[in-house]
Amino acid sequence: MNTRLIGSVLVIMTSIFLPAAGNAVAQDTLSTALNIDLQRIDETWNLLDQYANEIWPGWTGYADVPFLIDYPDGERMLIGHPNPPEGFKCLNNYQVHGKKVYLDSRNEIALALRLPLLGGGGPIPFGIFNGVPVRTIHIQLTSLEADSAMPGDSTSIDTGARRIQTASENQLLIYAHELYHCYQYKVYENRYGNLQYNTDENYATYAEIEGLALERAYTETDPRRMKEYLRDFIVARDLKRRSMDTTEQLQESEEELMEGMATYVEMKILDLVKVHHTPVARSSGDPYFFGFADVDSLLQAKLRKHEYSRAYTMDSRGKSYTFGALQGLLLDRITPGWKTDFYRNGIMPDRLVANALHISAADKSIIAEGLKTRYAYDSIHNKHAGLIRERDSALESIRGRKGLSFIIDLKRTNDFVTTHADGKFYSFGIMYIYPAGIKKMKIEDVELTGLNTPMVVDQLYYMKWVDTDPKPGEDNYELKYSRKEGENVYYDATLTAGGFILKAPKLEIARSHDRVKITILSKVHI
Amino acid sequence: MVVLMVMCLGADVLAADHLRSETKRTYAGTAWPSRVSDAWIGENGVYLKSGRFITIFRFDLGKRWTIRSDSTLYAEEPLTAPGTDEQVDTNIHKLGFSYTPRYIWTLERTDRIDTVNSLICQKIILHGDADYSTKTTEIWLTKNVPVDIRQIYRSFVDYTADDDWRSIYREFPDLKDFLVVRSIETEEPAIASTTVVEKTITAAERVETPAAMYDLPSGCKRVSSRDDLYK
Repeated sequence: MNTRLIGSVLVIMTSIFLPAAGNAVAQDTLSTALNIDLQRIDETWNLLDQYANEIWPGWTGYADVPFLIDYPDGERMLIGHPNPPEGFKCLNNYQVHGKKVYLDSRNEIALALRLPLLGGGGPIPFGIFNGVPVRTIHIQLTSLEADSAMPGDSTSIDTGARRIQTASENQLLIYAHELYHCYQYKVYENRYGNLQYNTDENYATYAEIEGLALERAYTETDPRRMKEYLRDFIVARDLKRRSMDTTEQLQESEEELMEGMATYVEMKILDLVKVHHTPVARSSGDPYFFGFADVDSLLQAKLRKHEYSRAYTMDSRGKSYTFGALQGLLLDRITPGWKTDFYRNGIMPDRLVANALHISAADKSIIAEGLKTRYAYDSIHNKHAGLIRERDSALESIRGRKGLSFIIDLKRTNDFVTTHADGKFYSFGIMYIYPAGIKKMKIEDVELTGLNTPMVVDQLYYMKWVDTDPKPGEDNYELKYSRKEGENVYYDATLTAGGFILKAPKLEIARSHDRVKITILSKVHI
Repeated sequence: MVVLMVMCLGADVLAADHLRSETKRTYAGTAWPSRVSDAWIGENGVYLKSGRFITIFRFDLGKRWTIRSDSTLYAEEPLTAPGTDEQVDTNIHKLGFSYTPRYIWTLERTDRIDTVNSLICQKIILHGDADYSTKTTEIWLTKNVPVDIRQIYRSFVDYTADDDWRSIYREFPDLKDFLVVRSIETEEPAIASTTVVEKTITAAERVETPAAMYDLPSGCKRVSSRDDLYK
């Protein structure tokens, strides 16, 4: 057993639950879910204490970054912030790594937090200290429902896969990922902005070939063959980028530099944990933390994510995570030392790979021709082309719908609609078109049943349905409720319109000439 | 540094309206440091200093220069007032990434009269409603101010107002008879937290400025776009 690991276990067990000595004031008690996150953050910092410099020479300062965690019940926990904004109360009997813990319960609702809670986010400016915004990692956690699966998964998840999917280790890796971003912001200035790009059939086809080539290179043990696959990757990238303008190309490469390298950090942590320590079952009150006992499966899950991402027709930016990470891991093999001055030089990972391979123009032509047979081009192209046609057709159908708009605003639930909506969709940016409607959407006690008519989910929190044949002068919906408050707030309401049936514990209706706006005021019964 | 050089150079002087404004922003309950901007609005040009940037409009040349005040870099663009037509996103590669609310505005008149920086102002409230966001804008207005209000709109506001303000002025053109001395905009955006922006005119006066104020300072180096000034 690794002695440093034993040390970190003891640190967790003592540092979080250490009561303030002699404190006569009644102590606050955090729920299990919040305690688990304190442990996860502490364990992330412990891991980085051990491995940060090995992962990326010079990476320090990770323990100085505050965390802000949002829970489905409206609680907000803040850790290590130098000047918490109004509403956060210091929990004197908790600390992590010597950092203070704060809680804002002003918007807490009566909702039991169901484990496991997992989620993502990123660095945001939150609060001000010494006149400067405080870069804080903001994480929005959601309860992983018992029957949930990865997007696109059609098979049921067996117990083993379920254990990997819901393991707290995933959350530790996300925390490390976001902490690494904070390091990147110190040493590198973004030049091109986020990639915002809806795919086309050329892009999707060659992106899948790129992804396959990277995957084959990563799993190849023969150095010569590995480099052949990397040449395929570089040539496929050139062909893919015929669909992109110069700015988009630079944005994509920079996404790989940012998100790809942060994902590389996750994979390096798993590599190092595998090499350096014997996994240990943990008894720290978190039933979903297994002390990295499944490190091989966690690594495999990363590759599965890559397989899913490379094959997903409508995704562009999301590919940069594993595409960039695999380039980093392969650079470790073909150009050791590549990380020295990486951010100072600002050369993108794909350029470093290309520079290491020295592919002539003549060779590129030969490789390009070979891609068609080595990667089943026709089959890949036909698949993506068909889906792109379906997507564009869905867009046309939704654009043609004019009439009375019903907007369902779920922002106050703090839950993203897409993760709870069931139905086949096509995406443009963060607009999701469900041409055959949403079968069911459920967020706690809010439930929508679609009636097989096109709907849109947009801007994460909103659903839109257009009644193309509204009756003038009428509501164009039926409403039942148990209680009314003021002019337009209803409790235990069931609203039936031509395209959906909506049940909600509390909602507000506002009507304008061509819009009915339904705001969900509570996701749980009051 | 660039500002001072310009102020000392010119011998000729021109009349201009000077507006100084202070903008405070509160986001997610946190108040950010306020920002002071100064604008000199003349017949043929505008000189605006805000934060690290100076912007000069030259109506006679049809140019707009943006200058980094802490360097010698500048960008040049044609001076055109922002379009008013709604843009339909035809580039399928870009569709759905950003959301620009198209507010439908309703105006609420109030009987309230307040003194804002010694100016007697009338208060009105505008309510904006869009598919995925809402905005309430409280405004304090006056006509009794020693500046040319029409010129301020013609030469300055029409070029610098954001989409929301342009749609407000389009819907309620009579507002252009008044100077907006204070505004408090409370927006509930589609995704982000509530944002409150409070802007107050702290000085409104008729002044004389050096004619050279509207010239590009010597020694400036041009970059290809405004984005390059942020790098």
